[in-house]
Amino acid sequence: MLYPTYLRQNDPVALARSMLRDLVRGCRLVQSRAASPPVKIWQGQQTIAVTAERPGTEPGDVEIAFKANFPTLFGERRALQVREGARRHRNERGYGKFSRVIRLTSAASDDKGDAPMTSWVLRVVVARPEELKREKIRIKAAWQGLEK
Amino acid sequence: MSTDTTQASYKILTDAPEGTGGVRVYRALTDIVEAHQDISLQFEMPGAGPGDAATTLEDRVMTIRGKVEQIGARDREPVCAEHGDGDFEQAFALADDVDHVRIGAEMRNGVLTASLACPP
Repeated sequence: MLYPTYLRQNDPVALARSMLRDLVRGCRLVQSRAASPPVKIWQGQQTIAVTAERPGTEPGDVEIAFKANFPTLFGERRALQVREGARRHRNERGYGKFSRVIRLTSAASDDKGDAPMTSWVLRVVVARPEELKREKIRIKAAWQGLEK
Repeated sequence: MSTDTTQASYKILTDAPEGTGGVRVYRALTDIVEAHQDISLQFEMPGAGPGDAATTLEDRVMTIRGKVEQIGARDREPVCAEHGDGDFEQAFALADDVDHVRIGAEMRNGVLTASLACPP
C-alpha cells in the first residue's frame, strides 16, 4: 500500500501515524456492523424517520422500543441453515442478535410511530413534540414600515 | 456479548462503472455454501424488491444486479447517514460442471438466493 504522507520527508513519524490510522479505521469497520445496523435519520416538520438496513431479517424478528428520545431497535438475523457436510466458500454476511439505540436531539413520542418494512429496509417514524416543531416566520422588509 | 454472532463486512463500492443515472454501485455481500450437488449463493441487497433483481449468465460468468429504489422521505430531509445508497452488483465465474440450465434465484427479505446444480 502506498502511504502518500511518507513521500513528504518533513515529518519523521508520518508513516507510523498513517499506518496507525489505517489500523484503527480497520478495527472500527469490522466491529460495527452486525452489532449495530447502520441507520439513516430524516427530519421533517412533523416527524422524524429512522431507517436501518436489515437484509435477511424476518419482519417478526425486529422490535422497536421507545424511551424518551431514545428509540431502540432490537432484532436478530438468523444464521443460514447449513446441511451436514456442507462447505462454506465465502462468508461475508453477518448474523446474530443486534440492538441499536438511536439518540434523537428532542424527545419524541411514538403515538404516530409506525414501522413498515419496505424491501427489508426497516423504517421507524416518530412524531416531533409540538413545542419543538420548526416555525416559519415571515420577515417584513424594513422599507415597508418606513413608507407608512 | 454473545459469541453466537458473526461480523459482516461493510458495503464496498464495486469496480464496475457508475450507472448512467449517477447511482453508485455496491458489491453485494455474499455467502457461498456448497452441499453435495448444489451450490447456494446468497447476495445481500437491502432495499431491492423481488422484481428488482436480475441474474444473467454469459460466457460462464454469472452476474447479479439489484436495483434499489431510493427512499425519498416525502417532506423529510436527511440529517444523518451511516450508509451509502446505491445499486448492487456481483459477478462470479462458474466452473464447467455447473448445470447451466438449472439455475434458480429467489428474492426474500432483501437477500437474493441463487442455487446452482452441479451434476456428479
